[in-house]
Amino acid sequence: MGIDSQDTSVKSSKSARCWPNWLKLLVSVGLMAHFSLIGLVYFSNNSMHRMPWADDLLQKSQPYLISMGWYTELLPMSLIGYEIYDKSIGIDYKLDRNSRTWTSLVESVDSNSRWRRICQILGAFALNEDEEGIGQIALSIAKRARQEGIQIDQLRITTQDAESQGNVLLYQAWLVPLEDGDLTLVPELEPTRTVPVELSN
Amino acid sequence: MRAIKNSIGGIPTSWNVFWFSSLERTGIARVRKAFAICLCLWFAACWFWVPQWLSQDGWLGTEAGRYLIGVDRVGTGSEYRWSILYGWATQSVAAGLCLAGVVGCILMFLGIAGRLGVLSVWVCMMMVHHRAPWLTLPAEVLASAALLYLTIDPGLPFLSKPTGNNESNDQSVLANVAMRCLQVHWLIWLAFSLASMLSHTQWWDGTALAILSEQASLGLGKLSRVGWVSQVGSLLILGFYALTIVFLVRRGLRPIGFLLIGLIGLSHAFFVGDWMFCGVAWCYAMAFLPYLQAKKI
Repeated sequence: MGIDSQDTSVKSSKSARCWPNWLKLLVSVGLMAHFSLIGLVYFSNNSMHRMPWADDLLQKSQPYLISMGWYTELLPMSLIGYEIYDKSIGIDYKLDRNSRTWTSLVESVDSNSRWRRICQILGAFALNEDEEGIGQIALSIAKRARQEGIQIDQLRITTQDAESQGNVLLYQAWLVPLEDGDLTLVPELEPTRTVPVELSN
Repeated sequence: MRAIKNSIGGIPTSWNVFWFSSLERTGIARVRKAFAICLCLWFAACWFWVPQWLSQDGWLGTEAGRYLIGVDRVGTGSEYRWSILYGWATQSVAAGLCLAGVVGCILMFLGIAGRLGVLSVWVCMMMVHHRAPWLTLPAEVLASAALLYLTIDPGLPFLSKPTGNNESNDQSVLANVAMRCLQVHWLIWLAFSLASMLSHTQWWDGTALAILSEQASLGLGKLSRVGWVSQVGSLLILGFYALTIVFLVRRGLRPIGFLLIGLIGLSHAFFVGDWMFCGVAWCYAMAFLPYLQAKKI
């Protein structure tokens, strides 16, 4: 190996005898398997073209990779996903369904990294028309806001249209109490709209 | 032909020397203590957001969290995710988890509990990670990997002095294996990061760095997406990544590679505002430190 074989050569002659060959072979096989899987995880995360054999191997290795935390969902660089998820996302609410005033709860450009990540996820769900995913996150946010004293009645999620720079409605729903005391969101409009809507504030 | 045969024949010897030499345990202890400090600060920061975000009724409640990890969907691997914050997710438990992490880091720093101390920190960290994998930052992924490698041999305890005796507890093959795992993992991460960055045009024209600077809250400030500053910064970072890999692999140039890891960490801190990555990068750099120094026999 290109890395400092000579620096530890004397120590290796003393210590290499400490480990029997079968143990060194076993550990070597384990190390090669482990780092091969790590490399495959990073390669698959980065690759634009998924390879069926790689996906199959990663799925079979999930008990090891996921439970031990090796299976990162991020690109190793994770510094930028795709520019389409870079849009500004706003989460607004109304306290009264008869009110015309929307109040901003979260504006992704002015928020910390966790809110920005949640907004990126919301943007991705909207892109993939995953209404259930948006609803799950929106309900979680609405419930928490109520806990914090913000009695949300209606919630909406908007983004900025790239061309017109106007706001685009991604999701809007009413917060409805259930019989068991729990809350649920009832969507008011289609989850994604491509026509910019003039939103009154 | 003979030269090729000789080269191939030398691979097992080099492999044995690389992985199975003994190393002074003070080196791995230094890395352990550095990670303990980093992660102690991380758990302390978690105190301020994990209970509000990851409790049952947090901003990212349990139901939303389960949806994001793909519960009840085939092939997502959600059944292998484990966290106390799924089953028992009160704010007190979440806060207790952060506190347990801090205590674990102190034990890890002191080296009192040996592998158990390191493992306890890993368990606490993984519980946060498994509960919200999509909120995990790159530095956290690198740190959790390092923790597992440190359980191979956490090194000498804090107040323990090396006896200088080769036959004693001062040297260990496991310590060398742990250090090499840290080094190889870092190099793999660096290589794939660089490959990914090189394949995105946003890194060549500076857009990526500008976007990251806009998102950074503790960085130097926002960079313009169209200016030359972000482009030069991007190219510098790409250069740091590439040169680091080259210099770390070449024995004589390794001290420069060590410094370049630090520069990568600092650039993440100043441009992207990711101070935890800066700390973790320096911790990984320390895994190369024992191999920079000439050893007396």
